[in-house]
Order: sequence, then C-alpha cells, then structure tokens
Amino acid sequence: MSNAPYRYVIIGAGPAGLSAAATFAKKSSKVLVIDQYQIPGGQYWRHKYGANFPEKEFEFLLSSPFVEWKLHTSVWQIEQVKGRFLLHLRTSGKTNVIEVDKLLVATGAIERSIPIPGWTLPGVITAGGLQSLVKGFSTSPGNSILIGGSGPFLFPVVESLLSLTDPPEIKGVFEFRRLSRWWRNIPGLLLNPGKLLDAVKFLIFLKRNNIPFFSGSRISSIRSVGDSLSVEVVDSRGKVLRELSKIENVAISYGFTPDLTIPSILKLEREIVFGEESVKVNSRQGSSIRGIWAAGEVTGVGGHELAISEGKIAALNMLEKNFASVFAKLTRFRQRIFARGLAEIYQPPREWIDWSKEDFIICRCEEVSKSEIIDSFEKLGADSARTSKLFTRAGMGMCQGRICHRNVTDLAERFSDNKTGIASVTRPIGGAVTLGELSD
Amino acid sequence: MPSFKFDGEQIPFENGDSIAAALLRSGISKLRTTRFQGQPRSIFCGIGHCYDCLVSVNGIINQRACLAKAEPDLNVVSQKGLNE
Repeated sequence: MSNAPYRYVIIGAGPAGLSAAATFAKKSSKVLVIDQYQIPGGQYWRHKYGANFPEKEFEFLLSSPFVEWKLHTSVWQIEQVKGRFLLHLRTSGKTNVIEVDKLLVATGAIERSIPIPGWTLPGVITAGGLQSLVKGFSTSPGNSILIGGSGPFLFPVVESLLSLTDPPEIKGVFEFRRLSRWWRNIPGLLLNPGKLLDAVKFLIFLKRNNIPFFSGSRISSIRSVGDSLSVEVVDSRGKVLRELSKIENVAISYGFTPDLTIPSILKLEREIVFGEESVKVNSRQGSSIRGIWAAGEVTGVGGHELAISEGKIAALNMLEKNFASVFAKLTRFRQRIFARGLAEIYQPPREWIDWSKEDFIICRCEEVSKSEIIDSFEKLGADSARTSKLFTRAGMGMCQGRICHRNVTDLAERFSDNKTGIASVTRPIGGAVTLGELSD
Repeated sequence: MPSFKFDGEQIPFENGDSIAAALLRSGISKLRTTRFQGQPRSIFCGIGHCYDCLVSVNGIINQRACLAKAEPDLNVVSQKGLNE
C-alpha cells in the first residue's frame, strides 16, 4: 500500500492522456501518468526507443517536474473505497497499490479485426501491429506485403512502411469501401478541409510510388503455401479480382473500437458513439462515476486531434477550471462532426458473416470456430457473446475477448433469438496476473 | 551486437527491441503452436492485446513477445500449447 494518495492520475499516455498531462503541468499541478508501454506516446505517437518524442508540443512533459511516470505498468484491478480509488498496478511482474482522488481514463482503442479464412496464419498481422513494428522498431515483418481493410488508418501505415530504409514491396492496398462514400461526410469536410487534402495527398502518394490501389475490394482468404502466403482478393460482390502468391505478409485493419477493459472494471456507463460501444461522458468529459473522467478514443473513436481536445477539457474540469476549456470545446465539436462522418463512411462491415462459406477460427485464443459459435446460438440457446462464451469458450482465453468479442456480438445479433441480448464488454481484470504475484 | 537465445539459436537485437521485433528481423515468425490444433502463431496485434505471440522467457511462460524487452542472454523458448 502506498503512502499519500495521488490527487490526479491518468491511465494512458496517448494523445488524450498526454494532452491532459500537459494541461496539469502548465497549471503547475502534479499528475501521475500510467502506461503499459515502455515509452509514452500511445499508438499514435509510437516511436523508437531513444528517439525524440514525435510531437514537439508534448516533449516538455518528459522532463516536467509536475509529471510522474509509471511506465511499463498495467492497471489490473481498481477498487472504489469511500470516494477514492485503489489502483492495483503491475510493473515487470511486481504488484502494488496506489490510492487516487481523481482519475482520468484515456486507454484508447483496439483494432477492429474482421475474421477471414487464414487470418490466424503467421505472416498475417493487424495494420496497427505492422505500424507498431515500423514506428517502434524500424522493422518490417517481411519483404512483400498486402494491405487491406477499411478506413483512413491504411494511409499512415503505407506511408511509414515506405519510410523504412529497406521498405518491403507493397503489392497492393485493398480498401473495402468505395471512395465515393466520402460525399456522406460533407459537413465534416467543410469543417475540416485539411482532412480532404490528406486523402488526396495519399492517392497521389500511392500513384507516385506505383502501389496498386483498389477501392471496393477486400482480401477474402489467405492460405499458407510452402513458406509464403497465397491471397485471394475479391470485389464488393465477391467476384475474384486477383490471386496473389508468394506473399510474406498481409496487414488488415477495419478501424478501431474503444478499449473498454478499464471502463468495464470500473463499471462506467457506456453508449454507442460513432457506431461502437464507448464510455458515456458529459460535456466536461465526466463519466457516470464521480471522480472519474474519460477522454480520447475510449469515449468514441475520432482520431488524435479530437483526443487532444478531450484530454484538455477533462484535465481543466478535474482542476475545476471549466471556464478555460471553451476553445478546446470548439475543436471537439468540429472534430466530432468529422469523426461521425468517417464512422459512417468506413463502418466495419457486418456482412463479414456471409463473406465465406468456409468454417474458420473466430476466437483465436481458444480456437473456437464460426460454426461452433453459430451452433451455440441456434441449438444451445445462447443469446449474447457472454452466454456463447459459456458454451464455446469463445472469449474466455488470455485476451479476454479483446479480439473476438465484437465479432461474436455480430454473430449473436444475427443468429440468436434474443435481439436485445447484446452484451456489453465485461472484463473482470485488466490483464493476466499470476497467482504468485497475487500472494506476494 | 547483443543477442539472446531463441530455441537454442542466437538472435541479435538492437537496444530497445522487443523480442518479437528482433525475431522478425532474423526472419523468424513462428513463435508458438496452439493448444488444441497445434497451429503455428506469430505476432498479430503487435501491441499486447491479443496474446498470440506468447513465448517462455527464462522459464517464465506466457510472456508477450511483442511487449517483452529483448535483453542480453535471455533464454526465449517457443511455446507448445499454452503451458509447456
């Protein structure tokens, strides 16, 4: 047990968390920042160990006397006692507990992986995982790669791959949604014209680097042949467009969904924001529990600029200086309109259920197949991802459903009788802890 | 260059590398096999969420190769199933 309680604690050192930390530091208030990685920045500002912090505006935090860091530290349990919070931490296999007055949850998002036949093969990686290798370790997983999925995240992934000194050959970028869907986001674009420019720049960039780009297409299956992968690409009607062989890597991303691990431990209220289950917050980023605020992707996936404005609003409110956040609130308003439009354009396709007639693994940890999960709904009476888990073990493995929960929920909506039985994310602990550590 | 051992083979790494990054750079992508079907798995989410890249490090099993820091003379062993 620690001694004096911490007044302000931020979980997550990504754009929202660091923006909040900067706000505290500028107001000369001490703050503790916890992150599970070795270096702050989150996924968006992921950078090489020892390199300069990628965003000048927040670099000062690293040496600020007001900021205390607990890095490589995960929060695996939180208790609420007499209006305070007891955070159970784990750093390199050692556990300890700290007491906190006011808590900001800025734990970001996780990738929305859509399962396809062959997605468990070595060489297949999420686009976010690829980005982390490139930005964090200047490493490509191989020499030839295909990139598929949907959403604006595919842009920076291609860009950073090509920035490597020895980049892999990018044999194609396959975007599921047609570019013409951008007309759906006219209000968002008018308020954020720079974003349209980014999209145009990306298309020019692809052309200049001779990277084939197909909109309205998707990677439909991946097979292991000898030491490499064979990949089938189809159009939106399922007609085969291409069959590519001797591919080393396939990177796929269908966008992001809030990481609700910490919010589910705290039992924070949720709501659907931009199509995904997110933490419900008020206009001051306050959550349903007094003393807890939330900011960034965890309250609705909308990109780093939105996260920065939310982090600032949250911190100012935690400091009871709410009047100072007017400018940040305007940015938040503008960014939310853009995010809403993007979410509509790049909606993760629920049709994935019908994409393949093959049976294949949905829950990677427990190796549970699609047909087993469907059977649990049709024959065994499961009515949600949670009850299906009891029958099939889907979501019961070490990742606690982080990868499969969302997809099992899609299956539940389609195949169970109970159309209102959509279970929201529940994860009783924040990450794997050994019994030995607990008994210490 | 410092190195660690993976299934008996010496793997060089750069300061700050994760175990997974160093292995991929050496052309090794198969990190373990699954418990029920014995299928090979590699790094997937790359950021510690999916627990697919599990390896044993100095005798401690279930370490995520994407998060675990590469350090000199570590003994990293690919896992067969979850618990061996």
